[in-house]
Amino acid sequence: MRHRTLRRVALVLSAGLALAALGLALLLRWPGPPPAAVAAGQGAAAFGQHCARCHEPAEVAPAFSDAASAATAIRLLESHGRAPLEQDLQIAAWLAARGD
Amino acid sequence: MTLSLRGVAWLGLYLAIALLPLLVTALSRLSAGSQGLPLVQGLGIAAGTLALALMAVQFALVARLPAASRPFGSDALMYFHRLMGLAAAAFLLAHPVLLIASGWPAASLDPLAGPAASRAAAASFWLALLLVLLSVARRRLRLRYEWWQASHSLLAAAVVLGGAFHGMAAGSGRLAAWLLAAYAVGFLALLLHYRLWRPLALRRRPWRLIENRDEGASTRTLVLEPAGHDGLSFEPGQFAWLATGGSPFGFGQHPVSFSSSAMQLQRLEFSVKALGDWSSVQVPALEPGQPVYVDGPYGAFTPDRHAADGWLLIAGGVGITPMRSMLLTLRDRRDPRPVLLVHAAHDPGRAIFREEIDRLCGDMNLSIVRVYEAAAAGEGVEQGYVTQELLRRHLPSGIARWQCFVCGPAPMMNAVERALLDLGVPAGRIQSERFDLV
Repeated sequence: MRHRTLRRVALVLSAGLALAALGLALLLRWPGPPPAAVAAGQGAAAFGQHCARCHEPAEVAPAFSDAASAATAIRLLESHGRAPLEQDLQIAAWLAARGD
Repeated sequence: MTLSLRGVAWLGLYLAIALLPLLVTALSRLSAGSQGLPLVQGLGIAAGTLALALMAVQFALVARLPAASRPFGSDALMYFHRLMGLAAAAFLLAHPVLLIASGWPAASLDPLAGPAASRAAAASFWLALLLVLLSVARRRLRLRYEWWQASHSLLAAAVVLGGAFHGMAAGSGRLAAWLLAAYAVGFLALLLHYRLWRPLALRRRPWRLIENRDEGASTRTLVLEPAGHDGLSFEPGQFAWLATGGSPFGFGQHPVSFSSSAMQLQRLEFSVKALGDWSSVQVPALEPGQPVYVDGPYGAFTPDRHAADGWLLIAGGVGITPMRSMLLTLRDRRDPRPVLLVHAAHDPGRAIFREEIDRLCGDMNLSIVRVYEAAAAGEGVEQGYVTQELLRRHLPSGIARWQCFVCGPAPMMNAVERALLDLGVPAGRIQSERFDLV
């Protein structure tokens, strides 16, 4: 009897694993988030290093509050200060995430 | 923890090990900057990841880990190993098919071309298919069991290690690479336990053959005594792996049921019917004094784990050997519960242990129904096969509270299991054991 049960268990398990594989495949269709979003946690440190001497976060954050103004502000960041582009993007993500 | 809870826990662990690489691949692929993949390509990656995880964990099912085999019985684990091995093969086959369908070059299946990781992947793929082919078609290919055992172990190791190397280099992230490395290390640790640690332990507890008895009907009973240790305890109906080649390190180990009483720890008997190379040629040639290594006990086919008002034992052919152990043990324990033995054979001459079991009727509450294909019916003797009609005539009224044990050729076991269910025996009270897997 155990063998009949085992056949059923194996069938259900295999079907479940195939569904999990399909789930992963569907998940893989979506691109990952842009790198800056992941790096946002490092934005505070980058802000402190490159911006804090002259600016308060609350003072500049509104410029990053929506996508249109953020694009302008990021271009401004790129041409302002000495931070490399990667850190500019981290700063922008962190400021946008603050929601000031 | 009860045995059933332990069983559920082991099944959960199996599922977790199978799914973990899939989860880690998903997390790695969702990391910053990764590109979205076409559905077919994603399915190909998922199928390959699953196949590798399943193949790595398959070995744990048959590595003779006592904690894992106790809740299920080793024969059930071996059968599950076979079933999930086929599922792994299906996922493995889907892996390159889907990737090639999504635009990957078919040349990536060439084990002699491309970078090392790609060659490892292709070699692993073809070796896995060979492994499955040899297992499914061993008898048709007339491959000796010992050679199949050796090839199965070596091919499995090559497949898992090659697959892990491929997976680590395939670029699903650092975490996925570490996880696959851990799977490979786990596999190697199991291999070490199975091929080195366990045989070393067996070598410290050898047994000596003291008698090689001809029981008739191409069956021999090997009688063993411990050589320098205090013996082994087992439950009636269980089995052990016997190594008779003079070393516990060899590939030739065979599962054989204990046929002696479980109350005798220092005199083990195993009855072997001549069915293959080992049982037909090597077993009859074994001489008293030779060392034998006994790896066991294993199996859950035993009355000791069930509450019951009585015992129904249905044996066909050499399937009588675990029943003999049960009968002798119940007699030695002076168990007062009724036992009904239905013993099927071609004719009286091939019903091994017939006279010995007949004599047990005077020592315990035992009734016997003999069923012969080629003999006239008479008192306590039926002509034909073990059918539902035959069982209906002989089963006691309270059979739903008995435990039923069935052991014999696969067609007989299938028919008897169906018949017992139709006669109202709950499925949980029907125990059976099958070893004829490859």
